[in-house]
Amino acid sequence: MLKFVGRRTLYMVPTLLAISVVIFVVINLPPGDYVTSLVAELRGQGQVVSMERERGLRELYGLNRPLWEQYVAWVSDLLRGDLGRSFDLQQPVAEVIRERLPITVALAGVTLLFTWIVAFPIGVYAAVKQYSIGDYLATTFGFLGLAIPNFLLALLLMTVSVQYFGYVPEGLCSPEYCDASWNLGKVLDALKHWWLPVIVIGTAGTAGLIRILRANLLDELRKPYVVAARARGVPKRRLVARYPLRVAMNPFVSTVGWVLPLLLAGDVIVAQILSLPTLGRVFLTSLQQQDMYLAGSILMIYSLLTVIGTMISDLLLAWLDPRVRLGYQ
Amino acid sequence: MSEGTPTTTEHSASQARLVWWNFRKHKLAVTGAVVTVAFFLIAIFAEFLAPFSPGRVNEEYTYAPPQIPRIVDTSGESWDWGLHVYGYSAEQDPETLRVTYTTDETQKIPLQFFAKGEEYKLFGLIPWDRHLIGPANPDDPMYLLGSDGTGRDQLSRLMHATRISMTVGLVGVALAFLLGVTLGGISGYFGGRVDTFIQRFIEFVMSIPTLPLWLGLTAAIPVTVGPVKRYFLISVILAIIAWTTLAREVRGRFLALRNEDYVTSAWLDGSSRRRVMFRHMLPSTTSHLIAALTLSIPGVILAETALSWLGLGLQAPVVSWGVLLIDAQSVRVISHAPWLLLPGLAVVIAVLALNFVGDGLRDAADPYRS
Amino acid sequence: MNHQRPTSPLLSRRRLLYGGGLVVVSAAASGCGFFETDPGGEGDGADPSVDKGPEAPMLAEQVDAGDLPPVDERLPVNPLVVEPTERIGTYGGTWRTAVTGEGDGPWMHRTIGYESLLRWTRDWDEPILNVAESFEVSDDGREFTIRLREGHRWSDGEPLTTEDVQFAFDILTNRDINQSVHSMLQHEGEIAELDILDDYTFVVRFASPHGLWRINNANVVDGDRLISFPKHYLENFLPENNPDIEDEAREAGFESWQEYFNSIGNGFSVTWNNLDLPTLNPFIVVEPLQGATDRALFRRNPYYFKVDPDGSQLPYLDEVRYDIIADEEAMLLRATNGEFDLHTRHFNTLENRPVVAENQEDGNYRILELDSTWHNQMTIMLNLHHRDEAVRELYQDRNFRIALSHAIDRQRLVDAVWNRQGEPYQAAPVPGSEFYDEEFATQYLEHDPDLANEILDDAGYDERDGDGYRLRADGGRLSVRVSIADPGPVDGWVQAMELVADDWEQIGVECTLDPKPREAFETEKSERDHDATVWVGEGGHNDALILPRQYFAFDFESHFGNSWATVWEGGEFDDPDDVPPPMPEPMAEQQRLYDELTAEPDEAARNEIFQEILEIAKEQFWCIGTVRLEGTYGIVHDRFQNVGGPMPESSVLNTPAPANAEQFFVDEDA
Repeated sequence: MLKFVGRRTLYMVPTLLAISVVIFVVINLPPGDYVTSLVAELRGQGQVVSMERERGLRELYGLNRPLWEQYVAWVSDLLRGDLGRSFDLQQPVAEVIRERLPITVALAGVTLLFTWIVAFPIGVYAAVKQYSIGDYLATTFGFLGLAIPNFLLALLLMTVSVQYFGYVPEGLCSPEYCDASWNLGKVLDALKHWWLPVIVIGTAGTAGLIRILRANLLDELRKPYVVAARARGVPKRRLVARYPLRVAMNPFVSTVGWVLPLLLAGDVIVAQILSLPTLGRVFLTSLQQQDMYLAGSILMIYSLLTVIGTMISDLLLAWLDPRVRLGYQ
Repeated sequence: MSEGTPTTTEHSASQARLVWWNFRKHKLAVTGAVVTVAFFLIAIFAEFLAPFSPGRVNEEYTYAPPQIPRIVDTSGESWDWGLHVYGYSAEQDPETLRVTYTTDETQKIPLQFFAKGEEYKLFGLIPWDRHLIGPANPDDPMYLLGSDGTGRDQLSRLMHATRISMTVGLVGVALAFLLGVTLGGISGYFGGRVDTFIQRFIEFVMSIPTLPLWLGLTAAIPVTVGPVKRYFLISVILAIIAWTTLAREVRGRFLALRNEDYVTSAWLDGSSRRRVMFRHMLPSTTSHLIAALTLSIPGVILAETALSWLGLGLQAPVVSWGVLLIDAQSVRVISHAPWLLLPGLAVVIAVLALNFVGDGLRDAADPYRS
Repeated sequence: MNHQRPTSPLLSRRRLLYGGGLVVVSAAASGCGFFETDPGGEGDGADPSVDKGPEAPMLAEQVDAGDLPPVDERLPVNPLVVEPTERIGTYGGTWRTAVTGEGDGPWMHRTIGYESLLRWTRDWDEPILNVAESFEVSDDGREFTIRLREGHRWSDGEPLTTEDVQFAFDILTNRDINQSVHSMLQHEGEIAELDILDDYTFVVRFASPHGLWRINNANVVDGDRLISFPKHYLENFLPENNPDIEDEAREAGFESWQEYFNSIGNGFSVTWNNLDLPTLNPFIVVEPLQGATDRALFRRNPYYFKVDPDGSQLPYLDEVRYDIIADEEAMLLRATNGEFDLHTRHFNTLENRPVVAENQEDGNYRILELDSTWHNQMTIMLNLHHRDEAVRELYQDRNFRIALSHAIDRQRLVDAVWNRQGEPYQAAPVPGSEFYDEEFATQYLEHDPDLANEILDDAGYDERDGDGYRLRADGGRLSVRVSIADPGPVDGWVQAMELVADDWEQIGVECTLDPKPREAFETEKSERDHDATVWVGEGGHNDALILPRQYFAFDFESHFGNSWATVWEGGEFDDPDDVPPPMPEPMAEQQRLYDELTAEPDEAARNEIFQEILEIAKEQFWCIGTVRLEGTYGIVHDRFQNVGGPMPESSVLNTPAPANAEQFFVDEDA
């Protein structure tokens, strides 16, 4: 097992290196660079920007160097733990991420919890009562979140909220409470704002989990030991909860590995519409502006999470199923 | 999967038939299949089914609400039979500038099946000018699902958008399928070093975040390519993202199958590798593959809408669900022209239908299981 | 009524946010019980029955506590007296508004960032004194003598003197920091000289007469440059005063001291982000725009230099709060829910007007009409310096442009795209501008495809290919690919161009649309790779002379000849391939005339030269106009006072800044 882990960790190094190349290339694919968008922005504000200045800015930010040189500089900085600085925010990238990470992770965590709470009962119900009206209703409901485009759902829910509750649930707090100390009012206020992003981001993920849980449980329910236990008269409810569910849960748990990065990325569009102060929004802006160290470093972190997540899920799989483990040797 | 000739007919059924029997049990999946077929029919016959072309502007009827088709006109002294809709009378509020429409029962607009209208080429080949339904006088307003901000017919746009959105999914997934099956199959069959290599590669592609990949690749599409080529390139880009899941699925199936007895026996019989793979293993994964394929189309459809939202996907004047939804993504539409949200419903129905078909197929994929 | 929290509110709030919303911090520390639901902020507005006194209560408290000098020591000897727009106000209250994010600097400028040496009047009649106590121009138009206000202080209490001006001058002419000399201090290739006469008086001298320098000093991004660099604070970040600055920069995460300096005190976003940077603005930052935050907060500047007619120090308002709302639809919802006091940006589109107007009563706000200074919602500019010679020749053919203009059904654009508002209009000054010329504004407007066809036939484009498209002499199609920034500064361009494309196809001209993100749009344009673009028609009113972008190749926004403008500005191209072809003679003449104009100290003579420039623009018809709107709008909450009625909307005027934010106040009973 240790050998397996060690080997997988070793594989991660070339994978991540290759990813860093792709990320760098992709960020630099669109025409122009950060200075192009900066100059456009400055001019939009009515400033005169001469070509001399444009050239100077490129020099200042090191964007006049050949791409490979910029890449080497970026990667060697990364290896030293320096994530570079954001041109646009005029801040070190590490600081930008540090400011936003806690709220991002908190939101992703709450969303994940919500996803499970919704997906779990639906998945179990749909498996136990396969092909019943209830199964159909539950599955349809569970899949709705996936089927409605996130941006549409967010705007619709906002409009409904302003119509019926008299407030717009964008952001994560109301202006008068953002600065307030924690009291009951602030907690209530937080609830008033968190439900929307949690629902919008969360429902999109429920469908996948429902599907996995339902399929696994169905497989398990057909196994001889279940049939035998049923024959011996063990009540269905108790039986399901006791064995098959546990077994069906295993792969469910193993998805945790890659769900987290998915949630972090999943909120990009929602974060923009709901103005969430999360990494997603700053990431989108940085991509559009080709603020390359910021975009690149966020992407590297994201990729690292994905790679580690995949490894964890493979490990869990190997641990659960000796056949898979054998396949690797 | 025995190759022998069956002795009695009652006990023989092809795998496809078994799958179908099983599939039929899943009512939701059957409904989904019907809906999916309907969507594809709309996509194929969009020009004929749509009363107008998607770009036909009528500036007199901006944000006109849907009309209700009527069969009998009771406004006159005697009942007057014949399919028709009522016209509108429009008024603009001088302060809010909102144009409001009221149904004008004095204006009766007769409708016709196979009505003569704008000319088009069916399948891009056969010139024709008949539309399934349309106003008897082609210049009369007929907005069965309302009109958009420039007075274009929502129904027609929706139908043409169906064509683009459903096919962008198909083309994308078809490409993804080729890649996925080939690499996944190789990986699952050979295992060992090849498997490890391909798995690392898949892992590598999967850990490239999709959003920047979209951003980068769509921005890199040269500005001079026309809308059609751009559409194709975007499908390719979407496919690049979709194939990994398929590959993993196929590999998983192959890994499991490799240890099945019949594969081993085929192997011991001296069948060549290629024969084992294509003759024995692939057929038994077909239904799984179809299921996986069906399940990945909705992802591509949704990705198209998301790309449009980011300003990267298909863009007007091309008409796709994503493009229509971007137009609908406003408070103005929600409060004054909610019928423009219908493309959202179309996406929901299509995605649900395809998902159910896929799930049904997967449930049914292994006919010997239950 | 108000209490100062012992810790920085920003810090405490961030710390709480980092708890992820799950941590319940000990409620006792804040002095409020946990089971209270009150946010604990201060109430809005003040009691008008009580005499307001010479300064805000929140400052009076600090004076009493010994934290702040008395008000007369904080004001200049000769403070600027501001006449209230409607009535004298009361202290207190918060101006609630919103920005889309870090990139929304222009709205900050338009609200609280307009303290230039001079200032435009609300109706845009003339520049008046602001930070400058006096501003004199020598007869030859070369020397500008400016006097600051004695006793005027930065927001940290340090005096503003000519030392700061000298410091700013050194920074602005320092190529190491700014890569080039600031355009305010350059004229006809020569850098200005600065003479310091005493602590408060200085002279800016140019080598040749500079006709526009006085006006430029009333404009927002230029007029405050000489008074935006507090020496006592910023000098510590320069290598000559701080040998360790390179190390400090690296420690702060920057590659060079220049980048560090820029993030501390150079550029525009620093005003909204650096808590330590002293400023002259009425409100100073207490919670920055940047960071993982939902809002930016600004509080009154205790050293602000303006008073009302009673002699009470302005501003009336305690705070300005910008909620960060990235999505304009979400912002619109907040607006219609009555959550903003004054807002004239982002969601105020024609498309949204019905929604905004219908919610006035429910949302307790009114619509503020703004007069458009644009001559066009959409001008179409063919790339006259196209890289392809045959295409260039076609686009430079005036007859081709005239035919295209006649082919457009503009009334249809008005009805289908612009809510039945507006009128067909060319790219020409608007009625009410002193440069208005009816013929210029209305030439080639009538929709007449037959005439258009005739013009094209006569011009030699009568050959057609199999698809019915007209051909050039060299056999190429008459074809235009229109690049559209999407999203652009106004909505509806793609829809409008779809209609125009239809119209053009009717006369045998192939037209494809190419919407693209703004960054890609800008890049393509600067590479001269566009066929044609659409853009707004700025410079229709009093800004015609300052922004004559669509009258000739004036700047980067003259899309028909942006590289010609670059050459004219003195730009040099690295790659000889990028050097544009020669300019048409009439346009070269226009540029020459404009050079003459900027050197002309007499206003009447300047206007006369500008008339000549416009005559050529009319004759040559560089740019095709479509539709002009009368105006745009904003919203004002019923409780928000002294905003006044309609005013011009322009980025040059910086609307609504000239309405004087410092005298706005809140009256909850109104």
